[in-house]
Amino acid sequence: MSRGLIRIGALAGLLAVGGCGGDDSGDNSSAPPQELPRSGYSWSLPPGFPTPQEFAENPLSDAKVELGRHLFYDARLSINQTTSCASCHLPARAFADGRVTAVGATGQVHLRNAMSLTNVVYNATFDWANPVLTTLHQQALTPMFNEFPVELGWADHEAEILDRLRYDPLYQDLFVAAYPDATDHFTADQVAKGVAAFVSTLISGNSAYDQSTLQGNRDAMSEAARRGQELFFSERMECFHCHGGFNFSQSVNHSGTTLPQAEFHNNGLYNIGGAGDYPLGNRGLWEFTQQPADMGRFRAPTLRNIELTAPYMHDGSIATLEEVIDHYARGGRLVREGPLAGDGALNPFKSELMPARFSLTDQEKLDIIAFLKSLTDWNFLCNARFADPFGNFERHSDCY
Amino acid sequence: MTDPCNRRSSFPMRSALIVSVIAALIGGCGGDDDNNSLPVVRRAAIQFQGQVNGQDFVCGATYENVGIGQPGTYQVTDWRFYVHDVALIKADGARRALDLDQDGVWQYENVALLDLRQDCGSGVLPGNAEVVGAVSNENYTGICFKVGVPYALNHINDATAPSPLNNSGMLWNWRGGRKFIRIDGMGAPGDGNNAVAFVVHLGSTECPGSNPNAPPTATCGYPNIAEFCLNGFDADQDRILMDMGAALEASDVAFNTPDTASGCMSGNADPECIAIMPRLNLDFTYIAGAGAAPEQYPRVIPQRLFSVRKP
Ligand code: HEC
Ligand code: HEC
Repeated sequence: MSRGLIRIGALAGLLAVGGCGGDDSGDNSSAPPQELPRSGYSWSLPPGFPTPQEFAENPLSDAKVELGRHLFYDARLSINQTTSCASCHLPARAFADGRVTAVGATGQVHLRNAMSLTNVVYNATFDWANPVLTTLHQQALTPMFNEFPVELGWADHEAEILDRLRYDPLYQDLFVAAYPDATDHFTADQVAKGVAAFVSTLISGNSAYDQSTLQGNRDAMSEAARRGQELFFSERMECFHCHGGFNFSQSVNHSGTTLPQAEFHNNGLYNIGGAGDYPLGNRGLWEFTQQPADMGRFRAPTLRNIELTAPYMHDGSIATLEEVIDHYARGGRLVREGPLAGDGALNPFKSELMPARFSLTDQEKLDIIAFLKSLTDWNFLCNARFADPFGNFERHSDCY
Repeated sequence: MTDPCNRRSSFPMRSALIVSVIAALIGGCGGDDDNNSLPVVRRAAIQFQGQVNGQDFVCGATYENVGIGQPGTYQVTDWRFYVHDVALIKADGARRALDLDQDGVWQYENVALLDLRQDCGSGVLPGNAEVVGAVSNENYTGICFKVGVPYALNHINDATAPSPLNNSGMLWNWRGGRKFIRIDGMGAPGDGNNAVAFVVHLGSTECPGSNPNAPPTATCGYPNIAEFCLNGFDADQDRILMDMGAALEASDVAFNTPDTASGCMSGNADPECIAIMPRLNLDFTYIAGAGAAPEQYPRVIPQRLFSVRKP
């Protein structure tokens, strides 16, 4: 028997009762789930994964994704034709860039580390700590138009950059196919929607962990990774309180999500002067709210493909996974001297969910690293659908 | 005749109820002068409210005199919990299950999520302080409900589970299931080195299996699902108070045993749970470590976590 049928039945009953009673008190804040746009796009989803949420403003199609793939890898998208999205989101590094913080087309240094784009479509919000950035389309406009620092450098150069695409027969075809109903195809907005469509397909769910957990192949994970998994999900290490769920982050959104799930946490990286401060410009959610409690709160990123996305944290200030574990084991980071000195473990705004200090044996440390490495997904990294159509950006060397 | 309201999640019974709801409507609302035929079912919205030592819960607020420690200040930053099997109780003890609206957000089958946060400083949250449904139209004197998620729904894949069981903030892991209660807090907040993260996360423990990301292989050793029954409850005007001050009355919220979870996350080896679990209406077995003899801490009777508040 279909449960859906029952639920429709229950709903009919409910509506009828409401219509009769008249005096149905109580604020009815629980809005019905939103209607989702049905673009007909067929996601190729790994087993056990939810369908991503699609936004009515940017329905997906294969043609749009294909347009986006070209744009993503095309250096003509930057002011001086040196930089593309892929320059900071390298396919060989699970779409992060390996730098401490990102460097834009004109050489300006970004305050933040370039994020991995693994499963980005499932994030409740985008960027390290931006509570209002909730669509990939809007997100894409940020690197395009950002001036402080310049990333791609579109500001004041929009027409020039668009003309590079407008007179290229390749893009004439791609844009028309992607936006069959548009009158003007070559707009910044449609560029942003195209790259957004492409990055939303960067879905990874075929790591050793997934094969072991959702695909019935228990032995895909090594014994060490299995022991590490036990630690990761233990109340000693507490990792899963913020990096839990199918995407190893609680801050997720998808078509089945009904309640806001954006989360931001202070994980004790800094405590400048003992007052809880984070470095200027990197204060996380605080920059949006100026609430003391939001100091240093960032989104816990997915840990999928984390092996390949060093260095870590919003400012790239932790070089290796081993050091990440040390950071958590201490309950926060001690910066001994210099302008950033302070004990992050004592940051007054540190999340309640952060583990109190814990100690690991050498073997346990190896195990937890083995577990984190079991989240690397070679099918994702080597997927031809995500590869550079111009052949400039190599996939991971292990792909061949 | 079968009581349509005492369904036990068997689908035909459920549809029977729906049919009777609709029948009741046709009967009850058909005409203005047809006053005699009372509907067989009625609506009920059970209201909940959070308090700490008698003071209303406001997300982020700090409360005083919590527990036995000094200074006993406790800041609360999250307050969510699941309930299921909500039933109204007649004077003769008979139960009538509340048939929950399947709203697609807060309620699924016989489970409801309550989220007492309204604004934790970063914007208004939707929040939900009521359990809404239909129940047989009779006179009631009390209410019973269980805190938690029933086993059959507790260990389903979060990625594909229906709302509210896919709420990521309430997730433990697959084997452990959901957090039944999530109270996040800080003892001695703002007091430099003395501040201590102290949370109460209730859930099932000792769920067997070798993989935290697979459903348990059998029911959990400690399901940790307690039923609460309150007398003198009038669904039309009363509220149910949940006072965490009572749950923490024997705890020092500014102390946490090193190398154990912050506060009590239901762990059988966590000393902080000894004072808390029995005050959640649960028998608690404490096992200090491998080879240690289990110690039993029976539930504290009468429970004081939930109570009825008259208007
Ligand atoms: C100069 C390097 C640079 C370029 C070029 C760049 N990005 Fe990024 N990207 C970053 C950095 C740095 C962040 C984190 C920004 C922050 O938190 O403030 C980021 C974040 C993102 C995110 C958010 C990821 C998440 O998990 O929330 C997406 C999506 C993204 N970039 C897509 C793109 C696209 C699409 C382009 C091309 C239009 C692009 N980026 C170009 C550096 C870059
Ligand atoms: C209180 C929530 C919380 C807990 C618990 C937590 N994390 Fe994190 N994690 C975060 C946040 C937030 C960030 C980003 C912080 C920043 O950049 O300022 C992060 C970042 C990371 C990163 C770097 C991600 C990247 O892309 O750079 C790794 C790796 C990581 N955490 C692993 C772990 C492990 C392992 C544990 C358990 C020992 C753990 N985390 C526990 C919240 C948490």
